[in-house]
Amino acid sequence: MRARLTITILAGIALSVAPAGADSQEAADENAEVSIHTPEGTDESPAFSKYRKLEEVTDDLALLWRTRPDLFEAVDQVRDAVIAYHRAGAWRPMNVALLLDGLGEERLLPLLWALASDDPFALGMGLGAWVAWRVGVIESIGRLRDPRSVPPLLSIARGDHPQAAVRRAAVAAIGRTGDAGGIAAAIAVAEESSRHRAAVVEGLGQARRPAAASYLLDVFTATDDPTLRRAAVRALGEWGNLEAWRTPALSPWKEEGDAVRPAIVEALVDAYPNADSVIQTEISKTLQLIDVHGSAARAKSRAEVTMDPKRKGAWRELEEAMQLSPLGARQEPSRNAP
Amino acid sequence: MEIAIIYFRTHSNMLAHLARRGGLVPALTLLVLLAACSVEHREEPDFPWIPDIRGTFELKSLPVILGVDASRNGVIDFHDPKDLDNRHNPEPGFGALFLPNLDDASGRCSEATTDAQREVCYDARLDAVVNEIDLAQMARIRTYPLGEEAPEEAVGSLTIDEASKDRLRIYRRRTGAGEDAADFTLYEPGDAIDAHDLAQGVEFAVEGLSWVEPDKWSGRVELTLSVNVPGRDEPIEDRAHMDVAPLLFPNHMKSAAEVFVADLGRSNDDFRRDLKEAVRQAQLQEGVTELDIDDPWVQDYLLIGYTAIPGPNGPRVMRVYFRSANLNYPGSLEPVYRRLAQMENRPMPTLLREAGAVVYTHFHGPKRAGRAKYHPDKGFAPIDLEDVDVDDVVRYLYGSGSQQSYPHIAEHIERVSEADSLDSFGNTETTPPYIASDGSVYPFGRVYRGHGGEALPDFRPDPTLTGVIEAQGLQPIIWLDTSWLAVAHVDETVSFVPTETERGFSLLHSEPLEAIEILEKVRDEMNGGNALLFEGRSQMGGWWPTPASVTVSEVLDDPDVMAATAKAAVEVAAQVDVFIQEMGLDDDDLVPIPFLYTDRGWGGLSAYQPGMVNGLSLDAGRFGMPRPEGPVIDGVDVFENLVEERLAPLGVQVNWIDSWDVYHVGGGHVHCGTNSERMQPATPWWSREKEP
Repeated sequence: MRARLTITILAGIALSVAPAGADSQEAADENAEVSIHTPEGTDESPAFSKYRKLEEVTDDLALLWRTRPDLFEAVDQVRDAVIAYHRAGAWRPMNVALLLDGLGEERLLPLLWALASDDPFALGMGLGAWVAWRVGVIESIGRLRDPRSVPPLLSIARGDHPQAAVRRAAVAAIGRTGDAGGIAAAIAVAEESSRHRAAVVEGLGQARRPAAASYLLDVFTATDDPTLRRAAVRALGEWGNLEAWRTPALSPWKEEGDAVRPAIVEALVDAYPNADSVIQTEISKTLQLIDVHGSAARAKSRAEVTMDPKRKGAWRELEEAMQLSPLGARQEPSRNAP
Repeated sequence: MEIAIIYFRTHSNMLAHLARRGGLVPALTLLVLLAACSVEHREEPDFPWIPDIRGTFELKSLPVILGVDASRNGVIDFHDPKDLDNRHNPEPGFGALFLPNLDDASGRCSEATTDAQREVCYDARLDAVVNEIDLAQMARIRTYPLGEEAPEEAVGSLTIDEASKDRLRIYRRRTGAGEDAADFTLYEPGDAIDAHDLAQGVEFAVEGLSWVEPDKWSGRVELTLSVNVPGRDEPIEDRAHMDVAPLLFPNHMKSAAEVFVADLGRSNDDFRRDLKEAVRQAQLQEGVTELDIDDPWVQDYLLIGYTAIPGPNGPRVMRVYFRSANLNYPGSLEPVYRRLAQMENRPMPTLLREAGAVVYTHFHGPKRAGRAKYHPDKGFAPIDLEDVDVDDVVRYLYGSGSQQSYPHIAEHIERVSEADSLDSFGNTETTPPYIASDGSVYPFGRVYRGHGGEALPDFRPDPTLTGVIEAQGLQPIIWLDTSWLAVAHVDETVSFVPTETERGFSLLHSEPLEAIEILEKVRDEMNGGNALLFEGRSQMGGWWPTPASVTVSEVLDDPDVMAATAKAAVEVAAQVDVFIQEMGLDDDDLVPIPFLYTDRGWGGLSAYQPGMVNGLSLDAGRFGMPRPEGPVIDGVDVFENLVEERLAPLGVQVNWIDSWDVYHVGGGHVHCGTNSERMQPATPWWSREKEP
């Protein structure tokens, strides 16, 4: 079995699949050697052929196709269900990722294949179904927290997708892997993005590694764009959410998280008095998720030393908000043990 | 003295008439008033009417009086000072009213088959009184019979203010005719009324063509009755005003009379079975009506309100059924979506959510008005598609090799579609009546809705209906931030129920953290880490067979569920704080209801377990709640047990309803899947304007 596989689509999106734990950037640099042609029976509409014709695909994918065709069929069935749901009038968002999660740990390759090969026109997918499907597939991939998914997700995050939700989901899915290289690349995507930047930044909240927190703080302090600033604060809340950090899934990076959270608290508490009311609200909510008692203590000490009555009042207000937080009891030191 | 003068001004015609007929007291009163007027205000240039009155006393002695039901007792009585005194009284609780005639008294609209036909099919579009039901809904105006004193050459007319000309229609009863609909003919304001008719008195029936329209029409009509008589330059006039009745949205303090649910066949038969049993136990007047509609979210596409005016035999009530402003596509992008429909090989959908047409097909009829209020692009600037290649736009939207970029079109679609869920009526609820901490009285409660607030100004419901609600002036909207929820409805997190408490109601609110604590207790203290939530359930119900069951420990180890639940705790606390601030609620008024949240995708949260606040208040003692599907310890669902014990002392019995299939898996629960017509209050709204 080959160790590294690449799916190249005519549109130029390179899907690189490497074993778990391999460095994704390195994986992205290599090409696959096995080619499998387009499955029979697909539509030949020339206008959108780039979504259909695969030049290269992995032998792992080919192997899985032979050994677990049921997985591919199941993915097709979920996709058909999404199409039907939307045709019937989808007035509430279908939880596509939840359905796909049910396919188990082996779903990664079939889902990547779906991302690469699905032709909405051949499938007769309405726009709503198409976007819901793409987002759902990406979210389900993200929940596998498998670094092999990083290169193809990066291709999507970098792409000029019309829908912000798709790019946001791709960045969040990369972040969930915890892959340092992937997260660095996702940050670069955020930095390069002119459109959808707030969505991409918000997606970085799932990237619970120090580099992402550092970048989010930089965005928060450097930008004057209220939408982007709000997105950064919200992403920091997602990043630092203590209830998530308590779970075993994040234990590999727990020490990093513990080390970084105080810096977030300090930066946000310090910024609070000069922020507008919208950002103040977001800061307050984010600090509650990260560290109620640390935030209250920081706000109190800042209020005590400042001579500016306005800033003093703001920090007192923040301290009170922390004291009233419903999360205070759950964040008592005695309950913070892993 | 000024009060007396104003009184005199209002009644000068009547007093003069009484004086001429020899009444001593009225005559003396008149003289005293006239004297007082001339003494008090002879040199006051700001009262130009005074010399007019004095100078024309003889001519104005004709009793030109415009009678309306200003006392709001359902009749016009020229001898009732309350009717006469209140004809201009701007205070709440006074002044004559009329209904917007938006129903279909004859049932003719059942022949309309398209939305375009249905939207314009209501009685006020006709230039005739349809039938006796129609006539009974109309308010009356009468002129005081001038009798033998009317000069033969006298000519009168009834006019209305310019702003109201397209807002109401007036019908006049043929003199000497009966009380049938055919006896009333359209009266064009200003048309002449001859002396013969003036002598006998004329009766009019009034219908409104709309509600108060924000920034367009206040709902107030100024009526003027003018009578020209020979030898007088100026007509003798009398005035009154009438107000269109306000639209009101009921709260849960009155019992449900009828409950609606979509009949989805086997898909929701468990849900309907449990709902029917709850309704049977509550002994609701009309029971459950199953609608033949394949859209399960009955709460969302139907909003029930009412309006009413006084009538001689009690209130004349018109129920109002709003169709939601949910859009299948932004109206200005219709050509793009027509192309998409072709691509999908399916018919072009209607602009509005199809199921909402139930307001016409099931409800619209006599005394029941089915209406829609919406903007085709939700109040956002429409997209100009002139000179745009629609096929190229479609390719762009799919990210599939378009010749040009159309980011403004993609953004418009995102903006409209993201905000669309806010127009579902699970996002429009009403608080019970209350007196706020600052003394403000809200006798009809207040509407509350979700939006994105200052942070997300585009994330708001269609401003069209918002404007209508605000313009009524009686139920000003309380706004909650629901932008963090995938579905973004207020009924996902809070619900008011009548309770045996000092205030008479309680706010049930989601308490996410308590749900975590319950599960931790089950795991750590009850050795229940392997106990199952959602036992025997499958993901997406009938849609997908994957088992949904999960152990308590697995839930507590799920970073997404834990993170979402913590986030929900912060957001719900902020929502509850809004009610505390606005309504002056305290801890005794709050009932925490524990359930977990999850990220439903697209960055929005929804209930991980069936969200128990999303229930249906059936009557004062019964609440239909979604079964929480929690872990069962010693044969008892720990969540069910806790909630029952919490609500029982408040006088509320819970009926558990199986809402997993279709509803929970689709992102909603009992309230989302039902709707209810509430009992009418015993006291009409106009008698409650000053008190809760």
